[in-house]
Amino acid sequence: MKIGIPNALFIRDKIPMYSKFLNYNNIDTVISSDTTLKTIEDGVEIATSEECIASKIFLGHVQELVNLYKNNYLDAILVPRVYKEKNNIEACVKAMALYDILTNIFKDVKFIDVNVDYSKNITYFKSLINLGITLEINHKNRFFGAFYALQEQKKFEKNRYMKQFENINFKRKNVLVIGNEYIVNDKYIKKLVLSSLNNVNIIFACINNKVNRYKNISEQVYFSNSINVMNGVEEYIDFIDACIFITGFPCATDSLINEMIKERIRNIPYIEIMVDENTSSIGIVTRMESFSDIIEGRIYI
Amino acid sequence: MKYYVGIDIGSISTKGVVIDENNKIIASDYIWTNASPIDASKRLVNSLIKKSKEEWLNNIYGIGTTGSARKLIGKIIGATSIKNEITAHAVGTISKYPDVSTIIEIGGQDSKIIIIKNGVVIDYAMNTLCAAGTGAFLSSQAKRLGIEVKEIQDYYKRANNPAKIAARCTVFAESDMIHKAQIGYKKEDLIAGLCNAIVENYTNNFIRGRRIEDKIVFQGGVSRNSGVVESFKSKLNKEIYVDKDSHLLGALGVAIISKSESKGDKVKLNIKDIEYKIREKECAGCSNNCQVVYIYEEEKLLDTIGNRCENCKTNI
Repeated sequence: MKIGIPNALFIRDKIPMYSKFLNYNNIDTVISSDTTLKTIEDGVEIATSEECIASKIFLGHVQELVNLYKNNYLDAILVPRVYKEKNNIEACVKAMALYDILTNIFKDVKFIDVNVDYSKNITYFKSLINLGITLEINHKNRFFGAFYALQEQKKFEKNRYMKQFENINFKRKNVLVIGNEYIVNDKYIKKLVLSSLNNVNIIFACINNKVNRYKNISEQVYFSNSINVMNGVEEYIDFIDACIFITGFPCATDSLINEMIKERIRNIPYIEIMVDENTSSIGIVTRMESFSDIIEGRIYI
Repeated sequence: MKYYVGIDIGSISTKGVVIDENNKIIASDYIWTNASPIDASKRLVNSLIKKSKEEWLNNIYGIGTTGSARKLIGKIIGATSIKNEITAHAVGTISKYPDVSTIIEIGGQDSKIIIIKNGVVIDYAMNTLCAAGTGAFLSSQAKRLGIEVKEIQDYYKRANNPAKIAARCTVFAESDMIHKAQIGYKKEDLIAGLCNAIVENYTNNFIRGRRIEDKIVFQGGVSRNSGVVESFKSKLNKEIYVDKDSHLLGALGVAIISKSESKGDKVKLNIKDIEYKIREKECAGCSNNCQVVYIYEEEKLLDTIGNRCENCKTNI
């Protein structure tokens, strides 16, 4: 059996976990390739105009997997539904709706859904067990699979965290890039925004929402991805010389926190870059070049 | 004496200056770009050369380009410095007003705010998604009212009761303005309303929480319009400075940058009178599918713009 996993949106961050679980139970996984211009074009073709750039990219990734499915290379595509990753903290509404959107768009494709909802005690562990039941995996294997999968995810997050920290280089200017993981770590967006930022050390803030550092900025935050962004800011704020907030257009969760973050990063050069599928590199290049000049702080006269 | 050239190729106009070691402008020109930056730069360079005295033409040590076509023209002309317009404008303005804190710039299609502290840019903002509240907005509304852009300031002075016009969107502003005209507002009140609307739009979009400190310098084409300048003064309740060379400050800035980046080698100001061909193509060399601009100098590939890797040069 072969199952496809879209390498985008909320799912991407959990790929190590889902892959480990499926591979442990002798199911092959196919992960969609990195975002390219074609991915975005494919996504835009399917999406409604109101959807955000991240979900357009997501649809492009699913389209790639659907093509494989239609060529009988895949047996199903995994699309988890996330409601709450913590009690009282919601995931973005997109994370709840993905499966239903996809079953509506691609009617003859087999999607596998699995719910995560901490308010109903469906943790990631439980959701993996449920996934095992759906896939008719026996009791022992699904239990061990879920156990190893969570360990794998923990290891991945720890490694990423350590790597981010090792990346800080005090001999150069450190620029923190914040935003939702699926935006700042998307290869296409990364290249579009950061390719003209030279001679600086770039740190990506991807922090798990289990940390409570965000409370320094705001006691109450509604969305879990906002918490991740805020935790990222708090984690690195003492080490950085500048900060770039990359936000997808139109992102509701980012729009609730960008002013708060701006307030927090007061005395450091800060810029917010908004990207959508129409964003040309020309406008961004001018902004990033002048931002580099601000970071450098060179006096020409 | 060493001399430096700065060229600012904007969307509407192309500006050029020649400065000496003391940042004094010794020659300048201002022409329309007419959507053809290569042609405009040719005309500009030729006109600067014509105005030249032998002495400076043979003693150029740096050429800088800025503006939206800076990379294209920079590559054709062999510029020693290519700089974004925000830094260039800031440097040009600081050279004339060393104590400047805020630069307000409203041009043909974009508007910006630049905040400066101790001679260094510390913050800026630029319009992103639309051109409401820029020069293009003002000129299209003036056309609608059947008056010349130049006349706007005379109308502004005559207005007693400026109309309230929403400027968040050019289309809404237009319907707002027509509605006000239909219910009997005078033309001068509508014009004054438009000028106020530009200022309103600017303060809503750019000033948002930023502290505006003296000295404030206003630049860009719209700064030539005293109606908008007056409106800014009353809104911000501060003195606003408009330089007589405000349209040249970007070019001046990039000339100064080329001076500071100069390696001490002489360069020649020359733009060959040959055909430059520009071809735009989506490269298929890798999965990035960059929109690459190929610049040809008589069939020979001179350079490319917009590529993320070198594959496009072999995959034409």
